[in-house]
Amino acid sequence: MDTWVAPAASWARYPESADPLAEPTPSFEESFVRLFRAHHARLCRYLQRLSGEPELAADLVQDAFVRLYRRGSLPDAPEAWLISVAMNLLRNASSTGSRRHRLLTVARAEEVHSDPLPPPDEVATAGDARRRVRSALERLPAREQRMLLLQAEGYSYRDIAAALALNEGSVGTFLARARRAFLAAYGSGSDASR
Amino acid sequence: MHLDDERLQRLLQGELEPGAETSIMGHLATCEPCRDQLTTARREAAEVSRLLGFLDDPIPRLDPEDVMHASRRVLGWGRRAALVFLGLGLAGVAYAAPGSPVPGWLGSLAARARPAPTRSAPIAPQPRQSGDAGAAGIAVSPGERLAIVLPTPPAGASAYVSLSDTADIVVRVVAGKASFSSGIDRLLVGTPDSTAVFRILVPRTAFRVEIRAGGSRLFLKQSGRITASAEPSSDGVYVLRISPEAR
Repeated sequence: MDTWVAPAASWARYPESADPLAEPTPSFEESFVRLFRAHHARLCRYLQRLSGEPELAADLVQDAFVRLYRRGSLPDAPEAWLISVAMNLLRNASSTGSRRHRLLTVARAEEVHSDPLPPPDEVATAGDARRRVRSALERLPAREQRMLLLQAEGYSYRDIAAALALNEGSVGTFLARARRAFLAAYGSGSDASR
Repeated sequence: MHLDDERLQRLLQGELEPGAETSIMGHLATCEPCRDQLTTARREAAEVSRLLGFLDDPIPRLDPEDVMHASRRVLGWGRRAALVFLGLGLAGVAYAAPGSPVPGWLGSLAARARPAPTRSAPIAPQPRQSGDAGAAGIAVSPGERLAIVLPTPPAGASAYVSLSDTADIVVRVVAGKASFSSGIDRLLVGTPDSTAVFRILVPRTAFRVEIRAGGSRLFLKQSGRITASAEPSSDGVYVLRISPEAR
C-alpha cells in the first residue's frame, strides 16, 4: 500500500456536468433500467413462444440486454433493436446448439418449481392444447409466426415492421392473414386428432 | 367503399393515424358487412391470444442491475483477453523478426538467471491535474467493490455523498486536510482535522461501494440499493456525520 498526500493545488477539476445536482436528464443507466423493466418480460415471452425453449429464451434475452448495455447508448428504436438482436441470437443458437451462461439459474429454478402443480387431468389437457398450438404455429411461414407473436406481446406496428423488415403500412394486412392461417391450421389439427 | 383488413386491424389495435378513427366509425355505423367483419376480426384476435397462452412458461425474474453488472464483468474479461492476445502477438513478432535483438536478450537473461528481489509496489492513484487550487482530493476506479475507510475519524468531520455519472469514485476535501492511501479494494482516508468536510461522488454504475468510519458502516451502495446512516436530502445528497462514536 502506498501513501499519497494530495496537495491542495493539484486537485483535478471535474467538469460541471459531473455534478449530480446539475443533471436533470436521465442517464443511460436510468434509461436502460426503464427499458429493461418495460420489455424484459414481453421479449422473454415472445422468444419462449417462438422457440419452445423457456431456458434458452431467457438466456438469449439476457444476452440481448447485455449487448444493449455494452453498446453504451440507446439506439433510435430500442424495442426493434432488442427484437432483432434476440432473433439473431436465437438463429445462432439454433444453428450451433450453443448455450449461454446464466445469471440466476438457481433463482429461476426455484421460481419455476415454486408454483403449485395443477391436477393431473388439467395438466394432460393443457399439454395436449400446447402441442396442438405449437404444431399449428409451426405450420405458418416464419414471418407470420413472428408477426403473430410480436403483436400478441403488444409491440407496435412500427416496431414489428422494423424488426421484420416490412412496410409498416402492410402490417395489419399481413397480421389478419397470419391469424386466419393460424386458426385454420389449429382447426385442421383438431379435426385430424379426432 | 368497405374497410379493408389493414384498417380493420389498425382499428382493433389502436394503430390508426390521428383523425382516421372518426371517419371509420362513421362508416361502420352505416355498413353492416363491415361491422360483421370487425366482429369476426375481434373474435379471431381474442381466440389467437387465448391459444398462444398455452405456450407460456413462467418468466424468470431478473433485475436490470444484475444485467448491468454482468455486462461490466463480461467486458472486463473481454478486454483482458484481448490485451493478452495482443501482447502475445507483439512478442511473437518481435522474437521472430529478422535481426531482432529479442532472442539475444532472452539468451543473456537466461544465462544470468539469478533471482531478483521481488517486491511489488502497489500503484498509487494519480491525481488529476488542474488549475483548481481550492480543494484536494482523489479519484479512483470502483472496480468490483471498493471500501472508503476512515480508520481514525475525528469528531465533527462530515461527508456529503451523492451518486454521479462519473466513471471514478471521487473524494474531494472541501475543508480541512486529508491524506489518501489506496489498496486493491479500499481507499484509506486519514484526517486529523475535526472540521474536515468531504464531498464524495459515487458512480451510479459502481456495483459495491462502502464508506466506513471507525469501524462503522455509514454508507453502502450495492447494485441498485443504498443503505446509509442518514436519509438523503431532497436533492439526493446523503449528509454523513463522521465521528469515532458513529455507529
